[in-house]
Amino acid sequence: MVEDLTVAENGKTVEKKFLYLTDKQAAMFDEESVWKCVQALDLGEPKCVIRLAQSVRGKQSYTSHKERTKLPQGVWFTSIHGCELDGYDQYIGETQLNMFMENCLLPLAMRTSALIVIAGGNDCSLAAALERVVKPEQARLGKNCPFTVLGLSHIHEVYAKAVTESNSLAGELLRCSSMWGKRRAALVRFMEARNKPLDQCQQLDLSRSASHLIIFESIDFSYVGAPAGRSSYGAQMNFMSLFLGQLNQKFPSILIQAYHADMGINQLAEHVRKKVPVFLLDTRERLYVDKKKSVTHLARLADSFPTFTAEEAAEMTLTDNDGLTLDSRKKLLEVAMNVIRRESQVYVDHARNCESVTQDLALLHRSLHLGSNRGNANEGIEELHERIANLQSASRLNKDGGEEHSISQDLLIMATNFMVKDWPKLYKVQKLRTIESWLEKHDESHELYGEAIIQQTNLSSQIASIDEHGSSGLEHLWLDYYHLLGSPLTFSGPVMDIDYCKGVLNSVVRVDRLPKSNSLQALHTLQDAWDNIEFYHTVADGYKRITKVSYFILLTTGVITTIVAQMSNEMKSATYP
Amino acid sequence: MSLLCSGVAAYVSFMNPAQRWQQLRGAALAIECEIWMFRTRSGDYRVSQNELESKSDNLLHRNVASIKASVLEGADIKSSSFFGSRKSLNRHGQHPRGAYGFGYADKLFLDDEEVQKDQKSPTTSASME
Repeated sequence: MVEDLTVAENGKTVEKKFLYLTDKQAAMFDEESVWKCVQALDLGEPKCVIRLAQSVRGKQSYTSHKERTKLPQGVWFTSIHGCELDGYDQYIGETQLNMFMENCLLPLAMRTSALIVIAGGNDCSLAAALERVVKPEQARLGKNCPFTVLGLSHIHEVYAKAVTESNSLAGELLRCSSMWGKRRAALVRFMEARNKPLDQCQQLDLSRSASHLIIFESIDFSYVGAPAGRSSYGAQMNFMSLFLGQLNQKFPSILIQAYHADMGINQLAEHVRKKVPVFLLDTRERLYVDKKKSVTHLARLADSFPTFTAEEAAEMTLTDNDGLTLDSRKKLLEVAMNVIRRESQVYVDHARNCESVTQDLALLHRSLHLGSNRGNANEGIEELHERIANLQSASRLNKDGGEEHSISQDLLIMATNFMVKDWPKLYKVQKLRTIESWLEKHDESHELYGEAIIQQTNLSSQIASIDEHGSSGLEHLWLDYYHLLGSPLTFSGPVMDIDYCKGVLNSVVRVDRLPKSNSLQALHTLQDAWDNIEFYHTVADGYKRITKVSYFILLTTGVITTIVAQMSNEMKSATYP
Repeated sequence: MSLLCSGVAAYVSFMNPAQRWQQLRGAALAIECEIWMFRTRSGDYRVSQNELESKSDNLLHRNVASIKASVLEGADIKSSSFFGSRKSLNRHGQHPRGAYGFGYADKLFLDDEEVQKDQKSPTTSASME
């Protein structure tokens, strides 16, 4: 099933491993057979799996989805600036993402011979940044490149590009692949039945950084109601879950998310629940001290990291033995929430909207964990009994003893409520203002005017409903946000601070798999085991001495007896010749 | 001479010290092997990311208990004074000074009097080392 294809790239030929899976084939895999698929793909011997989750709503989404560029910018879809305030901020964010890939991800991938799993379609900002950075490395190292890039995509994303542009990667694969070629007639029938012009279908190409590609057909041809087939993503999701689950089981893994999570907050939370670390990348500028020294326009306008008087700062950073006090941490969380509100207001003032949730989630996560005793466990060397005593006293005081960090439930609930109730309203207000601004500049003669009016009415009623009933419609995500913000496996870092991200990434990817600490039960078992070892050695030493002495005595007595008997015989023969 | 030889031979065949020595030494090294495999999370103790950490804890407990049981059965220990021991040798700092070990809960805080008494005892860890 896995094909070795040769495609042209900048005048050179490049080898790609390609797997085309129909809906029926993808549904047939189980835990055993999916591992055979991993082996058939020949993914090398990675020591780590880095998954770049599909991060959309950046500029990359705008430039790759050409079918949507005719729509009003930022009203129905993202604008040319992505989810940044303007072109300059977008440029800063993009360069920092490149820096992150160059200085954090690439060294890690080289060191660990990592398997990097990306979204195959080229609308993901993280995959695009990775491509910019790893393509020169892949060209330089050729077959000796230590890391592998695997792209996962489905036919609906790339079909139009494959058919219309033969020099695109999707087009070349369609030409070279026998599996895909065999399905072409069925795909044409499906597309004709949809009655949708190709220029209105998704116009994505495949990412050229991927040396291994899997394309899912994601069309159910067995559906009775639609003889030409219907779109179906169930088998694809099932296969991806099994495939990535197997990789996560075998190798240390990390998932990195930026901008808007295409997989959804529930899937991000699911990763954390499955003990896969999730790293939330904050693409906004947060870390300057002096407002005048800030780089991005958004940071200047929104006062993203407000400066405080000495008294305010002292009050906010009150500490007890475990770090910041609860009141201090609550104030820091409120500061973070106010920063998000001010940034949202700047977007409203500029008639722009940003649906990207990751940066706000990352900011809240960092402010929640600031001052917690995370990472202080097991510093220095303790004797076994000291560690047991510490854990026992910690359990008596209802603390975690450094095994797991804990954050206040009140703060966690406060942050979760903000993301479920306040954040959707902030976004809806931004969106409403964007539509109102568009309506001010256009009249009824515009073909989309009526649709814009409907959207405006809907958004106004939704905002009124939030104000009146406090219901944002995202209550079903409450537990997902709660797990994501509270889990010790969630990490966050600002992309503007490369060193910080590097440190977090290196600490998260536990290549050696050693735990940070042992449980109290394990320590008791070790204690008992060492007791037994010492005692066995002592008793064994005693038996060793007895064995040696008894052997010596038996040997000596045997020798003496023989000598005496012999001498006795000789003496007898000497006396009586 | 023959009497001494017979006596020693009878003692050796009754106590079987060579077998006990080898089995106890083997068991001690086997437990130590399990400890280091557990601490490096290698072999059977390797835990993947979506498995519970308690899996390796339970495995260590089971393996140590299994070795202990095999020692009691195989090394003909039950007929010896093995169970007469009451106090841990404490050569690896696994108990606070003066603690008993072997199922006794460690006293985390010893009285001064007990410490002095313990220091004079010939069976303390310091004297054993």
